[in-house]
Amino acid sequence: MHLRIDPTRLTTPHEAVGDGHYDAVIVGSGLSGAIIAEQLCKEGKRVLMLEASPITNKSLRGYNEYVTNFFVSPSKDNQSPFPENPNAPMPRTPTLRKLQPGEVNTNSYIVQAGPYVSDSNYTRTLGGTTMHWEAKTPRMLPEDFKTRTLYDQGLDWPIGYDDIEPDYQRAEREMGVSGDVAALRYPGGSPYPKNYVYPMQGLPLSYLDHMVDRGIAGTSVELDGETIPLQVRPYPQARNGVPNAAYDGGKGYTPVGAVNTHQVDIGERCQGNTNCVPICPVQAKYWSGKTLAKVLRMNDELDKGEIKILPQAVASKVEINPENGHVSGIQVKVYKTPGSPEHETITVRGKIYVITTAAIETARLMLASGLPSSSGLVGRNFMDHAFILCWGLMPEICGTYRGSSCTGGILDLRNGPFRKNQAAFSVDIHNDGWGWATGSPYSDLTSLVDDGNLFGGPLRQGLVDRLSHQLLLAFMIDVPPSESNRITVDPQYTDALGNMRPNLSFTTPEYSMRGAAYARQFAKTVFSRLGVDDHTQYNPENYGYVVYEGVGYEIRGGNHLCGTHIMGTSKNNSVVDTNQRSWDHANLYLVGGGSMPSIGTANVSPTIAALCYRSARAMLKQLS
Amino acid sequence: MDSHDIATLESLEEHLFSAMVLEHATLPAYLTALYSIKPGTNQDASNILRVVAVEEMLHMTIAANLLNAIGGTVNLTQTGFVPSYPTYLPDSIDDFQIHIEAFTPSALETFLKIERPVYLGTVQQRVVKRRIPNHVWCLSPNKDGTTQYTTIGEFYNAIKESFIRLEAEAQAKGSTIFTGDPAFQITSEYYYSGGGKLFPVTNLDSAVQAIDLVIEQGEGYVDEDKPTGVFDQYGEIAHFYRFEQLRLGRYYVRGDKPGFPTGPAIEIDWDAVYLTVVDPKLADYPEGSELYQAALNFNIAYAQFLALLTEAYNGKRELMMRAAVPAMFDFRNLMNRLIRNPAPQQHGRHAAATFEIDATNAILGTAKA
Amino acid sequence: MNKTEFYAKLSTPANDPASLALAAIQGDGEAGTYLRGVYDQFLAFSVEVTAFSRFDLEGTGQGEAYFATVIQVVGYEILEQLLDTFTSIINQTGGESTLVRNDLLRRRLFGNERLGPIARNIVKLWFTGNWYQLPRNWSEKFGPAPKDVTFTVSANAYVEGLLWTTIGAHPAGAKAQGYGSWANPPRIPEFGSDAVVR
Repeated sequence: MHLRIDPTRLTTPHEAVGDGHYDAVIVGSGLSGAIIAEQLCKEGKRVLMLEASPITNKSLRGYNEYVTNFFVSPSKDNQSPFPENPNAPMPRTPTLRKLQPGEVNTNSYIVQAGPYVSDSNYTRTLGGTTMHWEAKTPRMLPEDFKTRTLYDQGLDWPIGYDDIEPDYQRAEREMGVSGDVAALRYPGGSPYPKNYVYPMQGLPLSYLDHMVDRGIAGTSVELDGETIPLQVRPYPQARNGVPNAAYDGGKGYTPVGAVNTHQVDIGERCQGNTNCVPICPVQAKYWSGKTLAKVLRMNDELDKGEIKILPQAVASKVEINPENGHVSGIQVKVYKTPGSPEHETITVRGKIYVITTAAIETARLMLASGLPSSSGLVGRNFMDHAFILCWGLMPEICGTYRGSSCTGGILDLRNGPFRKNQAAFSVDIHNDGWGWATGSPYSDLTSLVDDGNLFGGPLRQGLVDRLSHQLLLAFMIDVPPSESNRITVDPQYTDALGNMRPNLSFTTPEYSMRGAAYARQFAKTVFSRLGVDDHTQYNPENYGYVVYEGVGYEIRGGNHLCGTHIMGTSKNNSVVDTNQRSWDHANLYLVGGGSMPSIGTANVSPTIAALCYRSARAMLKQLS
Repeated sequence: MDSHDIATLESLEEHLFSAMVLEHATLPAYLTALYSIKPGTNQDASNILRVVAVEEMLHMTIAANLLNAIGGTVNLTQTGFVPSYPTYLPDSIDDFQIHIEAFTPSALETFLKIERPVYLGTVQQRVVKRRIPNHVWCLSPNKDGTTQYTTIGEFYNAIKESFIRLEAEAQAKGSTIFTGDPAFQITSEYYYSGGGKLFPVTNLDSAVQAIDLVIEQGEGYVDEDKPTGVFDQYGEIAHFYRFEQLRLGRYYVRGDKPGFPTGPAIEIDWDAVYLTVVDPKLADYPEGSELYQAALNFNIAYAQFLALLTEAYNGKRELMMRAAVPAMFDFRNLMNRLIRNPAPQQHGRHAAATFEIDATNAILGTAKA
Repeated sequence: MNKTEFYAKLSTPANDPASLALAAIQGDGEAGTYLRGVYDQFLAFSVEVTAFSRFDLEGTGQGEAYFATVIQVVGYEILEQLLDTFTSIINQTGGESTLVRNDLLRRRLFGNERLGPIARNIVKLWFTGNWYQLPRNWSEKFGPAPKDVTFTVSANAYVEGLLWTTIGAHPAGAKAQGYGSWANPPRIPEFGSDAVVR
């Protein structure tokens, strides 16, 4: 697929200022920005897209430079492909540290005000966080939309699963999801319409998944008087697999491979690079450049709509017309090079404005513009999944470190009456071993050589014994919204361009900690059935270390950012309406995970994408 | 009837098997050139070589589908399936041979000749008669090898015409030549490649469509009366033009005329290549050395791969994805390892896989034992 | 270029050290012969401590780069001392079992205060492509070595790490094994019989 962001597609600060030309100004080129742009251009609209970073990855060569950055980074952290850019910085895990009571870490891009440290991050580059997302794409369950009603926890959505279901299908087509609908039929039924299939067949489960399934299939756990049978199920994923001939009423599906400025044929199938995060080296994984490529092709070949992209453009202030509360423009700082703060400030205008910069940056921009909304909820109810990890060695060789990062998991505790008392979770079986928890396999190698004093044959045997048996279960735990978990801004903390940085105050709610404590017990049960040698250890020095009921856990973020501008039924209980339109500013849409009033136990991107289609319809109506 | 006509079903089957031999014969050359490129360098050339190699596998699979469609037998394990290099192609007898060699300017020129479009051919006649020396392996429409096709496109056109005529003859008798087992057809569910869909060949329409796909991906040849565009009807660049981009140092983009690409520039670093022994043989490596053993092991693995493909083409379609695809990814590692090893006593040249499949079977004494 | 000039050039790396090493090793004359000898020793030592064959090691294409890396970071004298020690151990234990040889390797090389950390780092280089910063007490005693920080030798060095080959896997982000290959059991390569020695 050609992504031709040639010079005619890029615009200049001077051109971008041209008044009244654009129907929509979209801030951000990630999942939401790209889908909204596609939906608007399809109906002939003119779009100006602001991207904070240079857009080098529009060509295969530029994209591959990111891959090389990852290769030569000895830390291999999950932002290592993406260069430092003080003008549009992004959170990076190595800058975190454990906080003492009352301490604030101002060295990390997100000022960590505590008491808990969040390692949630997101990527500021063309494609946004779709560059480094894992691309697991389970839908939220119908119950996740009404947890207050059903379980007396969290908040109900102002819309239900049925309202969003057709948009999930649109999202799954756009992202190119491989999945097995039949395998996702839960005891409570299937959340999919009859006869629905994913665009592509499910990715095969890994050998490790099979070994785990062999040990637990047919067993069950008891929870709150309920018997829950266990099995390993495949996750749907937005990466290319075998097209499903039955898709779309038998029309099938054509996978979308890598994007490039000239023809290239790669990425039509996942090859099993085991590197979904931080970057798929062959672009078999969906990233929003694929959608942008479609927009550009639509512009060029079908003469539909128009998109102009302004790179190195950091949205700095949303300007409001005090008379009617409408947004009158967005102030943008356009820098010359990432190495220098030199920039010019311009104001761009459109009929509507769409901010799609993910929950933290969107809240940051609104708050920095002095727009906390009538409800005062901008920045509040920040959510990310709480993860705890449990790891050990399987009794047999399982061939860990192969496949996409995660192919299967235990999904049967995503819902149940127990949610009245404790958070639900979804369990991932990691094909990439203990890496997330311990720094494996490097930490194993250095320990076997430096501490184990092994070399030669015994070292090779030691590596097989230590690495090929690795099992890591990652529990993705529901986190209900809490107004005190919030993003704020503070003029004393700014980036190189003088834009205020996000500050985060965060505590993992007790409801989620109960889920975490149960998850640890659950892991022990599963491990005992598998004969796993449990190596789980939580280090009090880790930034995510939390003591709950006398037991220590390490809580990590999942980069599933939600809830800083939640949707609701009125301007008093929410920031946006069900179309993600601001209650206060009629021509402003805050699009993204921030609109979600609950997170459930699903990775958030499919839901974010589905909401885009809903919002785009409202935008088109407003523009017509 | 012209001398090049394929008049009988048996002859058509032979031609289709030859097509498989032909498509496969380019693979050792393309793969060796690809893996001779030092990693991290020459990314444009690497991408192009990889795509073309993958598509040659696709073409071989399409030929297998065509052969299976008419009830023929696919057997890649028979002696002579893998030629001895250097080797000729049906259109190459007068001007070039294919070598197993590193990525060099002359290798690139060879690749361009392999994929040359019909209108760029130097010989105007569709078929030439000439004597082929006995020692030369060659594809030919007739058994004595005295005639040849001028391009691969012509070869496939002859096959297409034969399909049309033989099916018309069969239909006239209330019969059909498409008597093969549809369960032998490899489709996109079992194998994929960068360009082009794999669809089942079950009748004349699908047969013609399949042949056209091969021709267009190779040469960009669409209609004999007009020179082709760079891009085919699916928006794909034909192999010839893919390689020509390397010669001209620039990518084609849509709307470009042949010979005048206007896309991004391509640079080639001819020095960032491991120069390998040209047309290497096991005998070039010291017997008993690790290198010799590794080269032999490669040939054994390759022979097993061909046996596996044969099974996959004969009804066990699931083996394509489960075993054949991983094997191809594995060859990348095995070939790379050979190519990075200097070959002793070979004037500083590096080793490479020899692809002496018949010889390897002979050494093992297990040729179809 | 004689050997001293080569070593000097390596420690002031304006050029790509791996190509420099390669050119020197392939060079003519006395220096070429000498360096080939040292490099051969380096490979022989590497074979011993990785349990990968020389063919496998050269198959990574990284030998010269690692050779140059060691010299760049800690200097040639220490590498030559290490390799001479290794050669004398091999000469001394000709015909004896791996157990005896490994004993001596531990006592005189891996257990040597000056050479041990370097020997271990060479092992780690081959398995990961990373040079790991030496222990602080080594630097205090035998340093300073200004280039001694943790770094990845090159993108290709990462990709060619033997760690992944050892376990029948592939480096994250490279050398993928193909769609669906992960459903099969891993193919873990066999290695020498001394593997069972624990």
